[in-house]
Amino acid sequence: MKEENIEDLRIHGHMVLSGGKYKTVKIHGRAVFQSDLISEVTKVHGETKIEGNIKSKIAKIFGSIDIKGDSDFKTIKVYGFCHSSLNINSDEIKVHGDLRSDGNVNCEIIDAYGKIKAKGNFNADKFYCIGEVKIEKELNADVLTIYNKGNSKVNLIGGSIINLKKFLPGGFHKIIHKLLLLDKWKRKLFYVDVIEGDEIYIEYTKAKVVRGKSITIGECCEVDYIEYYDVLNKNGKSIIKKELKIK
Amino acid sequence: MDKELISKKDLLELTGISYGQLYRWKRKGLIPESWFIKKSSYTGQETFFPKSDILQRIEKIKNLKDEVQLDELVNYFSNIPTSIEISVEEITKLNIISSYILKEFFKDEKIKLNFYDLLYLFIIDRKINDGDMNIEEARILYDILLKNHNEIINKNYEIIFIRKMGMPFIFIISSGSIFITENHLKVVFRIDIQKFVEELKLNIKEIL
Repeated sequence: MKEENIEDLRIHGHMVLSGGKYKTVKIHGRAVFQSDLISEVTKVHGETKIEGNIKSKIAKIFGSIDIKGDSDFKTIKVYGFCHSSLNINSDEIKVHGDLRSDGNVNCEIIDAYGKIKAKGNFNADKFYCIGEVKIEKELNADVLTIYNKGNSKVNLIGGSIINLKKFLPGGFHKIIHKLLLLDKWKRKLFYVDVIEGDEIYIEYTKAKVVRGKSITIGECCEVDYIEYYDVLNKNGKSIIKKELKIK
Repeated sequence: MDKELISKKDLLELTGISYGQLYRWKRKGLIPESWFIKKSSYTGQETFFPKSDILQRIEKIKNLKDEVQLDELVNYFSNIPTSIEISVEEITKLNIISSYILKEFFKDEKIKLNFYDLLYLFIIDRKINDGDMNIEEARILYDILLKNHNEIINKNYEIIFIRKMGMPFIFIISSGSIFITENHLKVVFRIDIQKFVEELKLNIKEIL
């Protein structure tokens, strides 16, 4: 069988293409792909719009990418902005910026410093984020740690180990934070309807229902109802309206 | 007919699995998302499941998870067929379909069957051995399945086999649909094709 001759693509400036299959795609400037893009490596330094789907083993976005179709990666690193109108599937996701999906996001590991937004479900084996998380449906992860920096909001969080913590600034920011009493006047809360997990730790969280095996409620939480199997630890500064131990 | 439901709390208690396991299996696609039925209750949002389906599925996952990796298990429970080609001779050796059924349908032992040929024979074999239909009726069912193959592979369907005054009637309807008949009809069996897909995949897992 004749080997397919796949070439590299480099764009410097502004270009509109029909899409296609390439080995390496490097964009320095602005590019619009009018249909699907398939590549081994995609690097965007600038702005890219894909009217179809994208399938790329490695994608590095130093700028912004807007995908109208499904996104399929092995690894995607976003140092800027990434928006997909449909689903994002990737083994590994790294974000230093903003990742948004109007559909579902499925990955094994996500390491994020910034904003994560999904209109569908977000599924990950390991979910780690320092920043703001907004997921309209379900956030499902085996091990989940979020240091909340904004007003995060999730409908349902389910998993094995769940940690929702308040982000504590360090160094110079810590002094400013204390001097301006930002902690008191600009309190950032994590809003979630239901949390279900085996080991749960939450602080600065407002939840309707928390269900789990071992639950620790840290400072400044408001929980309507807690259902637990083994242990419930409570901080005095938190409000718990109702609790039930399952026998 | 509404299926009996079980709450998530009762399910965890009954099966001894944890929240983490349940969510992991959901994430991996071992438990279909459509089985998670959300209802509001006095304690907020509660999730319910079709009881018999979820209990059977969890039992299967628990039995298999020690011998097969979780990611491989997904293949057994998905309705996506595996691309296999297997000869009648090899099927006879596997002992998953009675040899006399194979001989009735395929005279040539060298002929290669794909996953769906095997599936339809698997269903027929089960129903003949259960005494629900005879070989002639089985041929009619096999023809219907083959003729509507393109439709069947894309959705979940059920087979309904009815008898009226000894005459057989076969219906293929989408899963979970309500089916009302007149009183004199006898519904001999109603089977979910998807369940046979899972069962067949488990039976041929050595060759997948």
